[in-house]
Amino acid sequence: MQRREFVRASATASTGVALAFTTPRIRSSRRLTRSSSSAATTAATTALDPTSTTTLRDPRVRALALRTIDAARSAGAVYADVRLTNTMSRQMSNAPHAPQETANLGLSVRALVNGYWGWAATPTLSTDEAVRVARLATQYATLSASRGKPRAVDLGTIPVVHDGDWMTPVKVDPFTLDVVDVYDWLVGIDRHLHDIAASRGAPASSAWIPRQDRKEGIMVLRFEKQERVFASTDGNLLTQTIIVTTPNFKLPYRNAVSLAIPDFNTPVQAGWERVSETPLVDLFIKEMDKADAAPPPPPPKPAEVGRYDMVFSARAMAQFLSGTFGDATQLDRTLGYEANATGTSYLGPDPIKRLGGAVAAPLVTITADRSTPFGLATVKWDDEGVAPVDFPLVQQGMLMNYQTTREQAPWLAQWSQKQGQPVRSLGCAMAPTAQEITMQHTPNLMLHPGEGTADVETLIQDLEHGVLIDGMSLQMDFQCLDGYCNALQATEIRAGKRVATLMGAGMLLRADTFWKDIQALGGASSTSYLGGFQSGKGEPAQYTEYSIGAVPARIKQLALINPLRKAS
Amino acid sequence: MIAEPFVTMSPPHGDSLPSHAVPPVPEPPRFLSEDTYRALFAQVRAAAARPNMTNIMLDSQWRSDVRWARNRTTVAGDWRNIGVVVKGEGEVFTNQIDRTSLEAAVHWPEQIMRHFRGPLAPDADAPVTRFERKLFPATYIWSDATYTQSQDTRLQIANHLIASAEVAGMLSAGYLSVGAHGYVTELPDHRILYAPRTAAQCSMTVRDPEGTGSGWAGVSSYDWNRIDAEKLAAVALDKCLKSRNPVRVEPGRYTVVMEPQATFDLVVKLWRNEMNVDYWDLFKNMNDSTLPFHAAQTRRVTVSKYGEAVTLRSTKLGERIIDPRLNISFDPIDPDLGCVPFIGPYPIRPVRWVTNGVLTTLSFPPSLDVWTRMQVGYPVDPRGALNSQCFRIDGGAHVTSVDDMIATTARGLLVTRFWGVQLLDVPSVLCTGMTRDGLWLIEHGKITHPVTNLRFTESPIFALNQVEQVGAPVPVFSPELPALLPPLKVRDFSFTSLEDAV
Repeated sequence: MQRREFVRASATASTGVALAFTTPRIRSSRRLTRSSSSAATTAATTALDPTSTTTLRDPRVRALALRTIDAARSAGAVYADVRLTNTMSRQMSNAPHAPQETANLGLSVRALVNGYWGWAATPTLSTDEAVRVARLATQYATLSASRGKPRAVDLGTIPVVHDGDWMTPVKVDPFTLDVVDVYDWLVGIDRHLHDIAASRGAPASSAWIPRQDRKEGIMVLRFEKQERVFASTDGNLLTQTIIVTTPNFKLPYRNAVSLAIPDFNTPVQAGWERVSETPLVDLFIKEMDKADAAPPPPPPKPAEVGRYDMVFSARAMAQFLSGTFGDATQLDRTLGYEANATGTSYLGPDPIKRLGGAVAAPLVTITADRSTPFGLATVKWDDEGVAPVDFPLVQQGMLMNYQTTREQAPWLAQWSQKQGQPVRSLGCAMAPTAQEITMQHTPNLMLHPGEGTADVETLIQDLEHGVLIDGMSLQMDFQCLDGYCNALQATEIRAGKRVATLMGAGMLLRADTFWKDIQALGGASSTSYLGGFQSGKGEPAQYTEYSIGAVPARIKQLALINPLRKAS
Repeated sequence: MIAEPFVTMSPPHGDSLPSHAVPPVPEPPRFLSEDTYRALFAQVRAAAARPNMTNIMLDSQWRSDVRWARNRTTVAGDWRNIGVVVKGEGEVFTNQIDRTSLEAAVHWPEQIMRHFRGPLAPDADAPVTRFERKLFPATYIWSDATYTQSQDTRLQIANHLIASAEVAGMLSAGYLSVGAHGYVTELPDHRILYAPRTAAQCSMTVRDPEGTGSGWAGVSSYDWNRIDAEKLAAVALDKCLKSRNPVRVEPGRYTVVMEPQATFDLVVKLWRNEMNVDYWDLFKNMNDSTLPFHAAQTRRVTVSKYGEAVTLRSTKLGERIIDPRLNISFDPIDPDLGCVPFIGPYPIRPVRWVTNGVLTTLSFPPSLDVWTRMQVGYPVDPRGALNSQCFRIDGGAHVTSVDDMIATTARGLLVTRFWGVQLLDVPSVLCTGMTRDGLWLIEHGKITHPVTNLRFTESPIFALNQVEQVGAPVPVFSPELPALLPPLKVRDFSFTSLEDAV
């Protein structure tokens, strides 16, 4: 039996057996393990995977990093750091079988001379090039200092780690999997789930599946891996490997409903086990059961303009948190360092004055961290060599802190000392790759649950006449103050019951009043942990990703609008 | 791949020389040369099992910049990168051009295709789409003034721009960058067309330290000599000072005088997708339906009859869609619209999208050859054209200055720029967005008060039908993809809510 037929036959077997054998194997070498079985491939059996032509886990790379730092120091840098990144991504889906791969190397040096920064980057990892880049960065910093008025930068001191190594705790690095096996697995599970869905009355035809999904496949897997090497004149030499797995699995079901496992289709810092250890078939069957038992969706109706009490789902709260405190508590942003780019912050222009003041209802506590398992911003050391700490942003409604880097920490010295905290970077320095300069970016955030066991269902029961917001696209203004959101999934609630699906609903949200008007939060069991939130800033713009844990919330008297009324 | 000199590197410690004695490291080219490109094309072709069905896209670029905020330069940087996309059986991107990396990029997807489909079908007889050299226009894309500007010059300019704001007690933040790309495309018979290009931009925001006023100015060009940085600094400062302590006005329909940047920010959604921010993205996303005025894809309804199945016949070709004074066009040899003379393998050509308000051309996805040839007959049929996303809007002989527009306005608003414009509704191209960095009330022909920012909800097509006066088109801030826009006076423009952000 051909292997592919075997997969097909087995995929229709019972749940427990069906997927066990298709588990992708670890590649034994860098060759495609199956290439020798095909006569046509004899000419090119040594094809390297583009993502495995280089690794920064090579002792020569560490030597190169040290040599680079040395060159910057010799050229006159008071402080310098070098970052090297090897960034890989691989995307696969059940159809078509065309792989998308990226492999991207970078080296950049940041140098500080008399309070001024220089920076230079290259894609070429050679000694000559690294030395050139180190000298150029230092030269630019020296020039800036000689042309500018006095500027002070106090980086403080940080613990020196001479030989640090950290990696996302994964059971299986997805880049070690045999790619062909992963394709077979995707095709196998797709067929298996479709067969189950068909046996429960789902249309066999996929004609109604949205065009985009047909093109990209509806079982999509994306893997990302970044090797990072960091060295600085402080003496730090750190190696880290970050692995991110993003499943996007959808199952077309009856009534043109597309099923997905809640909170599963989200990027997480984890390996292949994120997929293999999830009982996908059982969970999809549970979703099918839920869909079968669910009452028909409430009839659609145009959104009526007005003010309503609303319940925001955990996902919607996470989006709102990202667009407000996520950006607004970036210390550089509050002070105007991003004024010519994404904007400033409603907590500025004197951010210190806001500390200790009320910015949310007393039941709101928001913390920031780079340590939560699965979090996209989780690291052992940030891109300045600092071991990040978990810190409160908002505690019982009071603003407690801003996101900082080494340069920014002293700007909050007064407040830190008043709080009995050391003046130290909170570890929020990062950059997407070594092709971008290190900046302050948003770490993982957590909107802490309220007391009790409330969830979306219990929260909407208290609505006499209100709206449930599940999905939305949010855009905040350039001070994270006023926002406009398109409510993609809005449901009208009357006396605790879903009575209508609202079409064309939009909302005008205001950060300060929204957070202060929160009346109730979901309990711990209603927490969703979601990835894929972006911190975007800089010129040219750069984006890093982080995760947010959030719970649903009930908010009083929000403005609902219908922007499409005038269009019809 | 780690480059070879790396292997023979000197010991990591102990060989450092004092800085004055550092031996010079020869500077490598800032972007790849024509010869390097030619060699890379040949290398990929040699490695590919089906060279005629393998597309390679190459780009290399350099950028040097200075950023500032709070009246001090915050970073001076230099950046280089290379991009290689091999599109054949799948798509592999790498920024490494050594032999191992390139061969991996070519062979890897081929191996996977063989696994699933067995032996590959034979190669095509000739490359799929290639055009003769003479079809590519000579565009204005290279400036020595841009390429040779030193970092020291940039820093002096930046400090000079900062000084004007600092003297006035204001805070300046801005960005100045120059750069160069080596663009390349393949011609028939394995020849290549090499198009090096420079890019420069300068923009700044001046804010009141109390956060009560903000002014912005910026412009971009391939040529640094076409950028008057000093004037930009003066404009940004003036706007900041005059925008302080704004008053609130009721949202509603207003006559608006839009400065050229505001016109651009409003109408750009008709041309560009968020994904295409520069030429490289444009190149990569060529297969996507991101080209507006596009007869068969997402933006179709603007220019086609709503509700009908979309064929060329159901579009609004030949019908008036905007104000009859307005023309929308693109001429590749306009020095102010200097853009790369090709998109992928396709030469760019002059286009008249809209003539006297009448839709005269649609764009099409260049990669859809069947569609292209069957429906439009490119490059023969003038009804279809490639969208370079560079464009010019003008009002022909009808030219009114911004001052005259203000003087003839009984009550209205003067808009510096819009920000965060997003599409709400495809059929009507309804958009929403905000004013930013300078908004003023006009009463009885005079500017009377700065005004709190407002959110608008309006379709650019509606706005272009409500035009009262048109000014002369000028280059705006649009790095990479230049555009020429006039100031416009538009009546009944719909502002829907207050935005207290400054």
